[in-house]
Amino acid sequence: MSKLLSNLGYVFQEVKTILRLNGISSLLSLISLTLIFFVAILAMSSWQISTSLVQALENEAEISVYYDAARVESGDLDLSDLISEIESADGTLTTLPISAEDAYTQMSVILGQDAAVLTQFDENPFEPYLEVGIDLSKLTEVIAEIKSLDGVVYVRDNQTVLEKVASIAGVVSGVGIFVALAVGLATLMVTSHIIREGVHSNREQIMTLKLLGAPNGFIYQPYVMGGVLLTTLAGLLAAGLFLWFVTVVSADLAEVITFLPPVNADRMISVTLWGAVAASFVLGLAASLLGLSMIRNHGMRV
Amino acid sequence: MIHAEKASLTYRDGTQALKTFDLHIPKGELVYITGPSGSGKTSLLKLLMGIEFTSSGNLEVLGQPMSPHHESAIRKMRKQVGPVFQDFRLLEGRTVLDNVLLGMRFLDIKPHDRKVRAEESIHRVGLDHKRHHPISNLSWGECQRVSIARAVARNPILIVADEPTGNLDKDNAIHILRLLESFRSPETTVVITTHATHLMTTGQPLLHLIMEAGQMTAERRGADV
Repeated sequence: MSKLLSNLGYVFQEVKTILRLNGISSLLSLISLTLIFFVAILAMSSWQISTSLVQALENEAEISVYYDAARVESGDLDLSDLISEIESADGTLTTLPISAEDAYTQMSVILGQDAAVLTQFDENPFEPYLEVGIDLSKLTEVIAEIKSLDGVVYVRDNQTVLEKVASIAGVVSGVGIFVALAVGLATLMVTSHIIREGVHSNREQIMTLKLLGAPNGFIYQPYVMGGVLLTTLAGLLAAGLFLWFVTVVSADLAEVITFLPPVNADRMISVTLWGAVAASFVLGLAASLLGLSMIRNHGMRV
Repeated sequence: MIHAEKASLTYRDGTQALKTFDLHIPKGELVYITGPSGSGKTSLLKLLMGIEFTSSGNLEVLGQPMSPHHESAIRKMRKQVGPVFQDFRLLEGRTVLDNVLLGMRFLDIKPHDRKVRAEESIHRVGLDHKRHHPISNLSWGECQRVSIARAVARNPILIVADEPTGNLDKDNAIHILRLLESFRSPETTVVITTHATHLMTTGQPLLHLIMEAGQMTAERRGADV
C-alpha cells in the first residue's frame, strides 16, 4: 500500500513535470479538447432537446371528435358510453369533453384582440366535441375505429400534420443517433491523436527509461494519468462552458420563442457535469492507451 | 559476462553493420572499442543493450541470450547495466539528484537507500554543489558526469558507454574517461566506445577491440600483458 501511495506521488510529480515541460502544447491540447467536448455536448444536448420537443409534440397529438349533440340531448345517445368506447380504442390516450361554451372561450383566447369578431354571431357558432389524445404510431387505426362508432358525426384529425410530426420524430431520432455516433467517434479519434502527440514528443525520455530497464507500467503511468487528467479537466471546462451557454441562450430564446419549455437547470447541470466528467474520463483513458499502443516500440524492438 | 559466437548484424534495410565475429569479455574487464565513424562500434553496443538483435549466431550478455523472444528477461538484464550515452539522455526539467534517483526508482531499492546511493554517486563525479541544479543549467561535461552518476548509482555489473566523450573538449574527455575507468572492479565490467584512441588509458590492463568496416580485431594492452 505504501509502495502504491509512494508511486502515486511519483506519478503525479511526473505528470506535473511532463505538463510543465510541454506547457504551450498542453495548454493548446486542453483548449482543443475543451472545444471538442463542448461541440460534443452541444450535439448530444441538441439531440436530446429535439427528441424531447418531438416527444412533447407527440404527446400533444389530438383529434377532435364531433358527435350528434341532438341525440345526446334527446337521450338517444349516452355521451359517457361514447367516451368509454373511445377510451377503449387501442391508441387512445385521453378523452376530454369540450362543451360549446368551452369551445367559444378557447377560441376567444386564441383570437386575443380579434375575439370581438365572435360577438357578431347571434348564437354560439361552436359545437361541443371530444378532445381525444392519441398515440401517433397508431394514428390511422385509431381514427378509423373512432369514425366507425355510433354517434360520431365527424372527426377532425389533421392527419397530414400529425403524420408529418410522426415522420419528423423518426428523422430526428435517426439523425440524432448518427450525429451522436459521428461526434463520439470524432472525439475519440481527435483526443487519442492529441494524447499520442503528447506522448510522441516525450519519446526520447520513454526510450531512455526503457534502456535503463524500467518496466512499461512504470514508464507509461504518468502519460496515461496525464492524458486522463487533461481530458477530464477539458470535460469539466466544456461542461461549464455549455452550462453558461445554455443559461444565456435559453434566456434569450425564451424571450423570442415563448412556447419553448423552460430549461430544468438543476437536472441539466447534474446530467451535463457528471456525463461530461464520466465521458471525458473514459475517453481520456481509452485515447491514452490507444495513443501509447501506437508508439510503444518506436525505434526499439524490446 | 559477454559471449558472442559467429554473431553478425545486418539491418532491416540490408546494411551489414557487423560481419561475423566471436567475442568473449570476462567479468571485471575494462574494454575499449575504437574505430572510425561507421566502423560498427555503436552497432555492437546496440546488440549489447538489446536495442538490436544478431542476424546470425548467438550473443549472451550477463548470461542472458539476446533475442527478441526474451523481452522481459532483457528488461531485467538492463536493470544490471549502467548505460552512458553520447547525448547524455538526461530527463529534462529535473535536477541532477532527480535524474540520478529516477534511474533507480524502478529497481528493488528502498527509498532511503536510493537517496544515499544517489548522493554518493553524485559526490563521486564531483557534482555535490550542483545536485539541486536543473540539468538545463549544466555544461556538457557536467551533464555527462550526471549521466555517469545515474549509471553507477544503480550498482551495475556492466557499464556501457557509447562515445561518452563525443561532445566534449579534450580536458573534459580525459576526465570523463578516467572517471569511467575508475568504476571498473572485479565485479564491474566497463565497456567504452570511442574514436579518440589517443585518450585511452595507459595505466591499467584493458581489452582493446578495434573496429574497421564492421570487422572486429582484439588485442590486449596494459601492465599485465
